[in-house]
Formats: sequence, C-alpha cells, structure tokens
Amino acid sequence: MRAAIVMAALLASSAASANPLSTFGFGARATAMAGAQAADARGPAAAHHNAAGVAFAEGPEVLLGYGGAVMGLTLDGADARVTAPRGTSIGLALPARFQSFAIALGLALYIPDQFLVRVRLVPPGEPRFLLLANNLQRLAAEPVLSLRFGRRFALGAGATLLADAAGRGVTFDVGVVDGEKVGRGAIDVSLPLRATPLVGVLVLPAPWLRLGATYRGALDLRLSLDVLARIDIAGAITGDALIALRAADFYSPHEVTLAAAIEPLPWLTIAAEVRWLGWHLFDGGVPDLRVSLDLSIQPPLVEGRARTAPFTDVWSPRLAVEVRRELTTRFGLDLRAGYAFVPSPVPPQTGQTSYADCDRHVVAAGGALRIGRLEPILRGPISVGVALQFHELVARVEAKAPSRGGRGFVADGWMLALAASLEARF
Amino acid sequence: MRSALAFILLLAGCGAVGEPPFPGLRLPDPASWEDVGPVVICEGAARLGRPTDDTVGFCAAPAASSTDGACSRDADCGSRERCSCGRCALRPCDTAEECAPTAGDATATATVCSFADRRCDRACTVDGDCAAGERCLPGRGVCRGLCATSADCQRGERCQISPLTGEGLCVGVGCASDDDCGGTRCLVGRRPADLREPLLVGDTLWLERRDLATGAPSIVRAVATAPISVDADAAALPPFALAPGAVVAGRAPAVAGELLLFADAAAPLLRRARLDGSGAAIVDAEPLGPGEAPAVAALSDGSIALVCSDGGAIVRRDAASPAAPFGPAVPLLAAADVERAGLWEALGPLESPSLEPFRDAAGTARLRLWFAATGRESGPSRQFGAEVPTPPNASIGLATAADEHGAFVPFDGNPVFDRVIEFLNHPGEREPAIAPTPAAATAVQWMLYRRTSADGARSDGIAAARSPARPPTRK
Repeated sequence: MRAAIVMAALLASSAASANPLSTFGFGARATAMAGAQAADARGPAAAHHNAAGVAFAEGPEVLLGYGGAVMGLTLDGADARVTAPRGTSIGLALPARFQSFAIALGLALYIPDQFLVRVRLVPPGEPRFLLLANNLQRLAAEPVLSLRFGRRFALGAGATLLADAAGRGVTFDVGVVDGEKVGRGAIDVSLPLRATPLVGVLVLPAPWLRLGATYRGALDLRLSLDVLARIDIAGAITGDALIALRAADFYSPHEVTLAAAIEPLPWLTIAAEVRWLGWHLFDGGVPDLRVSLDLSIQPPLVEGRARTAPFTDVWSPRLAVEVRRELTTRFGLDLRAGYAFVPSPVPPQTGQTSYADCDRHVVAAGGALRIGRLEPILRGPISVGVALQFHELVARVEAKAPSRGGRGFVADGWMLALAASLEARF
Repeated sequence: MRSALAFILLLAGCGAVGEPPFPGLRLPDPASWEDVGPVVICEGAARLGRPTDDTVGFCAAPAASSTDGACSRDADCGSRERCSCGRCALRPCDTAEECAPTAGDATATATVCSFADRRCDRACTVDGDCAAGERCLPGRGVCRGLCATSADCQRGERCQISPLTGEGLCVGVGCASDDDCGGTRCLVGRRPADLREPLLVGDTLWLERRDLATGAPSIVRAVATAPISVDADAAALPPFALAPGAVVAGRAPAVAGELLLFADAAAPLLRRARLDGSGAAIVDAEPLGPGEAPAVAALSDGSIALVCSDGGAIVRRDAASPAAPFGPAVPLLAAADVERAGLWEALGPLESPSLEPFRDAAGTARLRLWFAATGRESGPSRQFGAEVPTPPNASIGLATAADEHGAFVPFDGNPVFDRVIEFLNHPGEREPAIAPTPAAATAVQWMLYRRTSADGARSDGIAAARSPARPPTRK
C-alpha cells in the first residue's frame, strides 16, 4: 500500500520554464533579431527587454502584435505533441519630458490564447519537454517605470506579475446519514499575486554606441492545493483523507544580460548580448505531494517527491543586425536577422526525472515597413513588422542508470515561431 | 491591480477551451503499470477461467443448430449476445471483468455482469436504451428480449411466459453440460483451467497448464486472434486461441527462436528442447541442471542468456549459441539485494524471472530482469478498531544491467507492479512475462502475469498490464 501511494505521489511532476517573451521576443522586431534587444530596444518593446529603453520613446507609442509557433519537438522520433503556443502582445510606452529629463511608463503584456493558467502534473519518469511545454502558455504582465537623464543615460525598473494558484480548501463530504447517501463538495481557490523585479540600465557613451544591462528576478507559479475528503460510512469506514500538493510551475530563473549595440552607419545596427540564467536555484519542478489518511487504516501519512539533479546556470549569446532603407520620403523598409544559442540548463537525465529539453540554435529573420508623414493623425511613423524565428534543437540522448530501469530517450526537433506586430507613435 | 489582472485573465480566457488530460506523448516507463484485466484464452468456443471457477454456459433453444453463431465481432451477433471465442452466445460471468469489451473490436458491446443471472447484459435506464423487441427490466436496469416462443430469443435463451401477465421474456437457462439442458446442447461459455507461467513471443502465448484433476503440468500455446495493439489507448490484449494438445510435459516455458527451455514436470530441473517448426518439441535426454522457472534471451552477440530461480535467488547461465552447452550458474540477485525499507520488506524467495533484452537510447544492448517476490509493502491496517497486519503478498520487481553481461541493479522504487484493491486487499502478482520493448517510441509495453491470492494458494488466472498507465478520463 505504502509503495503504491509513494509511486502515485511520484506520478506528479510539475512543469517549469522560462518566460515566453524571453523565448521568442516581444514584438516582431525582437523576434526577428533573436531577442538581442537589451541594448537596442526602445519604446514599448523595451518594457520587456530593457526597462530603461522605454524613456527613449519620442512620444506615446503602442505595440500590438500576434504570434504563434509550430512545434516540431520529438521524443524517440515521434511527435511529442507539445501544445503550440499562440497569443497577443500589447506594449505601451508613455513618456513625459522635462527639458533633458524624461520619465516614462511602460507595459509589456502577453496574453496566450488558449489557457488562463495551465498546470500539468505528469509522471517525472516519462520524457517530456519541461521548459518548452508550459512556459509558452504563460500570461506575462510587466509594468515598468523608466527615467532618462539627458541623452546618454537611462534607468528603468518594474516587475513581472504572476498569479499563484492557491487552493484554500477543496472539501468533500461523503457518507451515509440516516440511511441516505450524502455527498457534498466545496472549493475555495484564490489567485494571489506574485511579482519579481525587473531592472535595466542604458548608457550611450557615443551616438553610435549603446550599452545595456538588465536584471530579471526569479519567478515561479506556486501551486498549493489541499483536498480533504471526509468520509463517514458507519460500520465500514470513517475518517479523513487529506491530499496536500505543493508544486512550482512556470519557473523563470534569475537573469542578467549584458549588451551592446552599435550603429556604424546611419542605416545599420548591430546588436550583441550575452544572457546569464541562474537555473541552479530551481529544484527541478518536482512537486511535494503528501497524502494523509486518517481512515483508521495505515499508513497515516505518505509523502513522495522525486529526486532530481540540480539544474545548471547557462550563458546564452545573441547577435543581431538591422538594416534600414528609405524607399521613398514616406516609406521605409527595415530588414533584420539574428542568431542565438540557448544552452539547456537540464542536467543529464540518468535518474528518476526525464526532462528532454535540449540546447537550441535560434536563427531569426524579419522585416518591417515604415510608413511616415501621417500627421495630424499620428506624430510618428507606423511600423508593420513580421518575423520568423527557427529553433533547431540539438539532439539529446539520455540513457538511464541501471537503478532506474528505463531505456532512456532521444529528444530532438525544432520550433518555428511567427510574429507580426504594429508599432505606432502618437 | 488585482481587478486589472482579473480582467486580463478573463480576456485571455476567451479562447480557452481546455484540453484533454496529458495530451502529450507518453512513453512506457518501468514503474507505470496499469492492470487491464484477465487475458481471454479460448479453448474451442469456451473461455478458460480460473481453476476455482465452475463450468458455465446456457442451454441452446430446442431448435438451435449446432453450427450457427460463428462471429468475429459483437456486431455479428444478436443484441444480447457477445462474440466470445468466435461464437455468438450469452456470455457467462461472475466478475465485471468478464464482460469487458473485446480488444480490437470497434463494435464491442458495453455490457455489465448481472451477477444473479451470471450473464453479461446491456445496461439501460429506459426501453429506448435497448434494441427493438427488448425491454429495460425495471429495478434491474438491463435489456431483455420480449417473446412469444423461444424462436424469438437469441442463442442461449429460452422464452419464459409469466403466468401472471402472460408476457414472454427471454431468459438464459444456465448449464454446465448437456445433461442440464433436457435434450438440447449446453453452450459452454467458460470452463475452469489452471494456467501459469505466461510467456508472450510474437503473437504466441506460451503457458503452463496443470490438469485440474491430477495437477500434471504440460506446456501449451495459444495464438492471438487479432494483432496485438501498441496504440496509446490500447485497453487489452486480443483473445488467444489455444492450440490443441500439449507441446511437452513440463512447467514454465522459456522460448528463444527454436530453443525451448522448461522446468521438469516433477522435479526442480531444467530441460532443453528444440522446436521443429511443426509444434513438436525434441527434448534433450539430459537435464540442464537444477532450477525453476527459466527465462531465456538471445543476446546481441548471438549468445544465449538463461536465468532461473534456484534456492530462492536468481541465477544466470550463458551459452555461446542456442545449441551450445550452458556454463555454470552465477548468482544474479537475492532477496537481500532487493529489499528496501518502507517499500518492500521481509521478502521471500525471488521467483519466476523474465529476461528482457533491449537497447537503451544510446544504442547500448542491455538486459532487464523482471521477477516476483512475496513481501510486505505497507504496515498494518486498523479495521473496526483492531490492528490487522497486512499479509505479505507477491508483487513484481525489476532489476537492470548496464550491459548484457553486467551486474543487475534493483530498481530503486520496487516493486514496480502491485495491485491494491479497496485500500485493504493486497492480491498477488506472480510470474511476469514482459513483451519486448520496441527500439523506437511505442505507446505501450505489455506485461502478462498470473493473479493469485495474497498467500498464493488461490490462482486467479492470467492477466495483463500495460505501461504507461492511461490517464484518467474526464467525466
């Protein structure tokens, strides 16, 4: 019995992940430049990539975008059936200038189409893409405040918000009262807010050079669920059964980015950055499940938690280029491309867990059409951009230790993200 | 801020339609087994039940011919009949599992066991749930045919006229032999059998069958009547049809190609035979040596590995080829190696090994060793205020070697398969037989085993389990 319950407890393993905006970028420009935006993002897109850049908006700006991805992830050569993400991006930059000083409010919002919150608990022994399954289904809200001092220095700070899923009580009463079968249920769930800081700085030592640095705190979605079944069948079984589940989902690690962007020519921008992701604090996402049976039968308390090796910190380099061309006095064309390497933080999976996430090569390209001279409707141009981002997964081969008995797995595949967005300045 | 977030969540939820549980790909796992119930093994037109079952059938109507009722699926039969072992008939039952849909039959009728009548019936709440000419019996919730004469009824039924209402209802008249039927045939649907030591090789199920009267063991085989499914939603193995006659007198078959190893019918000795392709076995005169319940595997280098239980432990012997002599026995695994505090304690002898060669994801040829042992997986229960020790029961464990000739390391979550029914009932699982793990992603791996009571005294027949377990369905 105990072994059975422990095994049942080990069935539960939560998903954890990085931020969906960090995976594909916020807006078509960031997507086309493989997310290398910490030194280059301005206006609404900066609300996610570097909050300091919001204050460089030359007027109120909005970003409206829609994007999705085709998932070609495989396990042992078969389609892993990872849910394809899609969602709407909304960005906002509201600057106010006071001579050489500027202050701006920014907002980056990503609303996935399909789920409010998705928490998935699957057996940790079964291979799955921990970082690419749930993370892309996450709602992201990032309000920021940015301060610019002169033309060469700006600071920004904000928060990433997320709601926990906390069950304050799920109760079932089952029994026989006066010969009648009785069944009642009650549920009380709250969604308390959680937040983590975003900080960014931008320095422009020269008009052609931008240096940026950002910090993003770790954030996770905590699932807390207590299910109480009160059973009263006189003469047969009486007592309580409590199932307590604690799990972390949607983990975004501490993230530090150092970046530079140069404009050697008026029509050319080259951006590069390196991003450190502190995965070592992540406990692997395996939930703590406790079952307390006070049914006058043993065992009274069983708990199960799969062991997992600690995740490793990773460094992710990114490089991007943008070429701007004025087609006419009213129309301009921007062409963009980028590359990133995203190492997997998942350690060798020889033990109980079977996380399949691989290193990724990211190649991106896109373009935007700028339309100017729209006064008095708009003070600035409209930019309509599209982007493609291809993620090639480096095959991961995992054989299990003899104490685990499994045959292991081969993870491989690709993702193709598509994004379109419209940016306008008022 | 919370209001704003709530609004955003609602907005995002406009397209939220949910998803089925675990929509992602799932692969077999060594410790994620789901019991899917008894394996249907047919002898002629009758299913083979447990040794303690009685012979049960239903009397044919007086005018029924002896050749009618051939079928391959439920849709070939009448509304109250099931296609059982190739013949349409009322299906007798004493357990709900006996009424389970037949694997692979897309037309399978969902039925429940009417225990009082010992027959599988279609459940209903109103007459409209039943076929034309049937009534949903009030208070019973099953469909029964209306009739004027027995000719209006289906196979195994007779028309019974109510003396009160004058209404005719088709009823099944139970029987064990033709003598019970007053001049008509008894359509036997189930008869008892003592089947043990299953082994699945391709579509052939090898078994040890013990004579119910004398206990004499013989090795028999049955062939799957439909392809064995490895689809993700596979819920059962197909029925197997028993081939007539015994292959050889003996116990616990182990097969690799033309090589047949088995335990002597009367002594703890292993014997070797060669299968000649026609079903006959040519047995070596000399036994291989001491041992019980052999299992055999052809290794990647062409050699043969033999494991068996001997003296409470599992030992291994290797041969360079199927025809070559086996080397000396080398101890592989003992109970002390497998015990784990709190999970599997007070283990008895390790029994009935099953050897599974496989290639891991890196391409390394390895071996898994499945076995049964009797032990304790939980502490005592408290029933009506009294502390009742949980009896030790047989469960199935696993050990794996890093390569085909390496040492075996027990799985750290043993036992990997252990049924617990209604919290307190710990029946036994013995004699595991694992279908080979396919090299590539396959949705299901099958295991056959023998069900027993906790103490092993009562045999409950051959059953199957699948890995991974299916997710619960959303109601």
